[in-house]
Amino acid sequence: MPEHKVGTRQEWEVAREELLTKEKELTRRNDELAQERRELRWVPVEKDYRFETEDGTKSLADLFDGRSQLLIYHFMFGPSYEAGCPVCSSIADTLDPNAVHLRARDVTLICSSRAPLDKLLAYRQRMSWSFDWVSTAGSDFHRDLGFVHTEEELKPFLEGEIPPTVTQMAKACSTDVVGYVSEGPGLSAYALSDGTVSQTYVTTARGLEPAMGYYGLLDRTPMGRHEEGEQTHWLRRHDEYGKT
Amino acid sequence: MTTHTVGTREEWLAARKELLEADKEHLRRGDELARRRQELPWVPPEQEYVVETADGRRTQAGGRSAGLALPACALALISSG
Repeated sequence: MPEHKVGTRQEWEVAREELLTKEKELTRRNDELAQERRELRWVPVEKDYRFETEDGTKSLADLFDGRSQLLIYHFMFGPSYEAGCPVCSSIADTLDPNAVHLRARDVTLICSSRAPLDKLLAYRQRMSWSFDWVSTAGSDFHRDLGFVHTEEELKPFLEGEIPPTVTQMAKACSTDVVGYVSEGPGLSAYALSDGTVSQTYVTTARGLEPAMGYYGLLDRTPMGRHEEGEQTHWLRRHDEYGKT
Repeated sequence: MTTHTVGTREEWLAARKELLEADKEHLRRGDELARRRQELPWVPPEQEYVVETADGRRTQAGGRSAGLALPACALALISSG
């Protein structure tokens, strides 16, 4: 357990009250940023991307599935992977049960990856998820969003010291480091209005934390995330905890 | 659909970059508050609460972490529940 102060209930209440004021400020700031996100310009998607889905080949407009908004999680599952990225898998654990609530707000939530559809669907079954997962195999969709990197672009990274977490994750996906880091995670949002699909928002890295439910919860525990100094990542696929 | 402006990819990118700075600042502020939460004093429970669980009646220590002091946030939850 971490070093900590011990106090009386009254002392705790005073400190908690002070913290609450700051938490409320942060929540309001979050509301403001959400507003700014919605105020970004809409960029019409001009390319005719094609996606392989369980119901055949579809266009981006088809993926809205009758709703006016579309959220796509770009799941790191590249062509050379044998299993999806463990971190993306933990994100999918948060996304999957939320898809039904988003549908109630006119939002379709799906995942997309570059691996062939049969690999994605077999992995989805293993993980017991039910969201729609589409393959962008043969399309530039992920590349155009900045979620695919060429070996040339990765050269500076690959020539440096590879962080142990990257080697760990590549191994967990049964691919090599280049194969693993060629993919990037991301979340993108689209609107369908008057038959036109527009891109409205894109984020990556820590911008994905709202889809990592456990972090928000850990931030409220006594030890927090306590990831500093850890050489390998603690995250595992939900069916792999307790295994070596 | 809400009213919105339409722009080019370049215009979107420029605005997104600006927003990204604000997003990052917000994240760091969130990190700081998480750290402050961890700095709250821990309050030893004044009485032993017994809770009903799927595994029968348990005390807070109940075979879990043997710490003497429960984090105060947990205490607040249990005593208000």
